Amino acid sequence: MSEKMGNNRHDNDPADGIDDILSAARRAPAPGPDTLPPALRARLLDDALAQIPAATVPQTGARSRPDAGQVGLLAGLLDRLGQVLAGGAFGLPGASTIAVAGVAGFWLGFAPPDAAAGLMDYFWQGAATIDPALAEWGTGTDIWAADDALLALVEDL
Amino acid sequence: MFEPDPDSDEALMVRYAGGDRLAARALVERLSPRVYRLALRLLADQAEAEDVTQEAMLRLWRIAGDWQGGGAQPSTWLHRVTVNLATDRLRRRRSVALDAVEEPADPGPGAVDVLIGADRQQALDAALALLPERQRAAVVLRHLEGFTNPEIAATLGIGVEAVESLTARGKRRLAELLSGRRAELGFDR
Repeated sequence: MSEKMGNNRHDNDPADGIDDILSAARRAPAPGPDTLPPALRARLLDDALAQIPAATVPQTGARSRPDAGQVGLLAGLLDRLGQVLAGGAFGLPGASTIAVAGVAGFWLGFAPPDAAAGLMDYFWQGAATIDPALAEWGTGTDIWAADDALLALVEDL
Repeated sequence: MFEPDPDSDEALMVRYAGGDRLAARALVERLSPRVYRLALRLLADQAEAEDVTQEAMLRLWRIAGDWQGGGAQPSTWLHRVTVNLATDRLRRRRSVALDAVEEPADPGPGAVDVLIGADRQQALDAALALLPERQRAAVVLRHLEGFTNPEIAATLGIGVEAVESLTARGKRRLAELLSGRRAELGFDR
């Protein structure tokens, strides 16, 4: 390395001499190993592997999309499932119909619209014609308090 | 549609996001040594450099699934994160003084060059610590890590002209800080 910092031609501009220090620092062994400390490498690998399940599907075009055959196979399986559930003879259009009906039923169970409430009232009024005690179920009565009436109704059937 | 080179960092990112463990290992081996070295240059502290490296790589894993191909290279993104993390830490410890460099204690004849080399490095680190963060990052990237000006511009998120200005001012300031120590550092031998 030329020790130019002491040369007179650099004395006028102090920035000239710094090149030697910088180039020496660049050539010298880095302030630490060029390779990673083993413990750090182990931590990095642990982090990388731990984060893999959390990684989502990238948005680059490099990830292959499912091809038409795969899509067709999935659709076919769903339709087949729909036919099986419908007994194969009632002509239900497919599994999507069943799925929609299931979701709608689930929702009605939790948040029935007003029309559904009216329908339930009609049901309980009809039940009251069989056994007046059953009509209480539709008005907030504890259902377990009326289990005797229910059992009696079932036995009558 | 963007299709990365199968051997590129971007392709490894895609494979990693898809759950490829080999890609994870390859990215660690390929990207992290330079991140660590850069952090070490900027911070001059091994423990802090390791922490910054781990944090930067962790952020890389977390954005792997959302990586947009065809834009910045993962390495450029990673260097930018590294510089930012290191800068945050530097701002927390701005009290490093050039005079804090320790004197070698009674060196033997054969050890003089080694000690001078180590002392130069310590003096340089101490002087770098006194530069404004942007200047320091630009000088380290340009003169110690060998980045090109456009690469530095991408890493720091500034223009090439700003990089040139930062490196020039940084070098000048370093020279001023070290000008009184030429003989001590062995440049006048």
